[in-house]
Amino acid sequence: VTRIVRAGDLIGMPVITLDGATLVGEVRDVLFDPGAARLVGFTLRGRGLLSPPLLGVLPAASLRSIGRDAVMIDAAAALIRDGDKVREHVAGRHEAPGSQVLTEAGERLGTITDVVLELGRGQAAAVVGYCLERDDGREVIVPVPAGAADWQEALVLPAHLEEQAAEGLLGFGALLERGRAMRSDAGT
Amino acid sequence: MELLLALGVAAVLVLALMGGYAFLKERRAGTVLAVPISSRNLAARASRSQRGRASSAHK
Repeated sequence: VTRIVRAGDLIGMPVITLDGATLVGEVRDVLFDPGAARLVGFTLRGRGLLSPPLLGVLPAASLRSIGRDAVMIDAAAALIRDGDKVREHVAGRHEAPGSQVLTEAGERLGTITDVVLELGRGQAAAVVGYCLERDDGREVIVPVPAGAADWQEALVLPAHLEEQAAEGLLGFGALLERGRAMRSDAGT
Repeated sequence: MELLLALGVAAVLVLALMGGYAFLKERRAGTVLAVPISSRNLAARASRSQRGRASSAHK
């Protein structure tokens, strides 16, 4: 069973260990690799006004599950606290929200507002879509194209993806399922 | 004397404001960050294979 969520909805979620049920911190930033369309991990901050603003990086490999209310990890030791290693993990990062989206034909599709993740069991979360705000204010979700590439200032998508845009997570989930069913039918 | 005291208080206030600003900036709300790991790995692999070719050509 998989679940589709907006990456932005994970921000602020508590991170809890399975070994002692202790609270390590809360999700500050969600890190993803656009080239591999995979969740890379989270940066964590402490909870409360005077708590540390950055505790470290939690790699996706150390996540046991991302639930509706908390992120579960084995032990607090999974958190990378060393400053150099943290910097190495987030080198070259850029904010996804606010980035422009263009088609290969050079037409503006809108601005990224969020990233859609598919959370599964026993596998790293996959990036399956981008939430876009169109110029008319409408929010749509477009699927991540096959062979996704890294991007910096602007994300360039094949023009036909605009036709596959869905409104809302429910519609997008159905669209993903339809696409997979069609691909598996074509494969058999 | 009073001028020195006033200057001292002003300096402390400025430092406190700068510290508070830095703290709040660091405490910013979280966001979604793209981290180009794939292209970093590709670049590292390309550079390693280039170094390998250069060293075997040198031999």
